[in-house]
Amino acid sequence: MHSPIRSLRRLAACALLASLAACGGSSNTTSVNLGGNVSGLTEVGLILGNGVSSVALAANVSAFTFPSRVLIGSAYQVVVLALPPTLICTVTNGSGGAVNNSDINNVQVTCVPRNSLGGTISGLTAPNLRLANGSDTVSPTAGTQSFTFPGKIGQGFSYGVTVVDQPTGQTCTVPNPSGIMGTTNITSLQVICK
Amino acid sequence: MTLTTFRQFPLRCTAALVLVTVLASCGGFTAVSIGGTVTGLAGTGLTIANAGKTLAIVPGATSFNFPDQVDIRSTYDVTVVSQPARQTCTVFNAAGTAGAAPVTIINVACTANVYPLGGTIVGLTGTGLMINNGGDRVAIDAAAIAFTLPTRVADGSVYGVTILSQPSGQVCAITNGTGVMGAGAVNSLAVTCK
Repeated sequence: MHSPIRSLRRLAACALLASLAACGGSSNTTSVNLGGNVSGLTEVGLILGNGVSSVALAANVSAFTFPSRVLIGSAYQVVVLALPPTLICTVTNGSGGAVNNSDINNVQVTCVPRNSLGGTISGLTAPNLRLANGSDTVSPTAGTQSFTFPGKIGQGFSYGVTVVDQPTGQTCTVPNPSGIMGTTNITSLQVICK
Repeated sequence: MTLTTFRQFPLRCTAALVLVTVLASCGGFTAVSIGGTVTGLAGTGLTIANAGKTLAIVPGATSFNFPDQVDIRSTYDVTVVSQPARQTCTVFNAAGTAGAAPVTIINVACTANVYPLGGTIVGLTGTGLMINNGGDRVAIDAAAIAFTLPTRVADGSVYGVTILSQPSGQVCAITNGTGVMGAGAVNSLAVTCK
C-alpha cells in the first residue's frame, strides 16, 4: 500500500510534468539556430538583424549566431542594422527559409574599410544643385566650394557621381565622375558649374 | 477526491496532467492573441490574415494584434492578403503553434518596391566597358545592345549611372543617366560609344 506521503509526491510530480510539458521548454524540434561567419570585422559597432531579433558583434569575431531561433517553415533575412564607424559590411547568403531541423550557419558577412568621397566645386552661384553617387545625395548650397557625400564607400567598391538636379540657371558637370575607392579618402572630384 | 482514490486510479494522474496543461499552466491562458511588430509600413492597403480572419494595418503602425484570440496549441500562419501601395511586405516568423503566452514574435517587414534600372547601348565594339550606379556595377560584353544594373533600385530612390571604365579603343557616353526611381522599371538610359 502507498502511504499518503507517496501519493502526495506522485501528485507533485504529475503537476511538475504538466507545467513542463505545457511550457514547451526550449524544444529544438520546431526551430533552428541562424548564424554564420564574419570577415574583416576589426572594430565594434556591427549590429545584424533578422527581422525579429538583433545581435551586436564584438571586434575581431569570426562567427555569430542570433539569440532567437528561426521557426521551421519560416523565412529569414539577415540585414545590417548598424555599421562600425569605419567599415562597410555586406551580407551574402542572407535570406532563405528554415526548411528542416538543420541549423543555418552559412550566412556570410564581409567587412572592409570605407572612405569618404568628395571634391571641389567651382562657379556655383545658384541654389538647388544636387549630386548623387548611386542613391546617396548631397546638396551643396550657392557659393559652396567643396563637398563630401554623407555615405562612405568601401575599399574596392565603385563610385560614380552624377548631377541629379542642376542649380537654377546654371549647368554643372563632373569631368571624371567615376572610379574605384582605394585605401584613402577621395577629395579630388571636380564639379564645374557655369 | 481523496488521496486514497487517487492512488487507486493512477490513470487520473494523466487526466489531471491534461487538465493542468490546458487550464492552468504558464499563467493560465486558454486562448492567446496573435500579433507582433510592423516595420517600414508607409503605404495604404496592407491586409494580413490568419485562419481566414483578416486585419488591415494602417501606414505608420509599429505593431499589430488580431482581434480574435486563438486557442493555445492551435496553429497559426499569418499571410499577406493585399500589399500596400508601392511597397512589399514580408511576414517573418509567420507560422507556429500557439503556446501558453500571447504570440508576439511575428514581424511584418515592409520595404519600397524595387525596379530594374537599365537602357540601350549603341555602337559598342570594344571590350572592357563597365557601367555603375554608385557601388553597383556591371561589365558589358562587346556586342551588347542593352544593359541592366544588377541591383534593382527602390521606388523613390535617386540613381546616377556613370561609365566606370571605357571599352578598349572607344569612348562611351551616357545620357538620361540620373533621376529618381518611380513605380516602374527604367529602361531609358542611353549609352553611345564611338
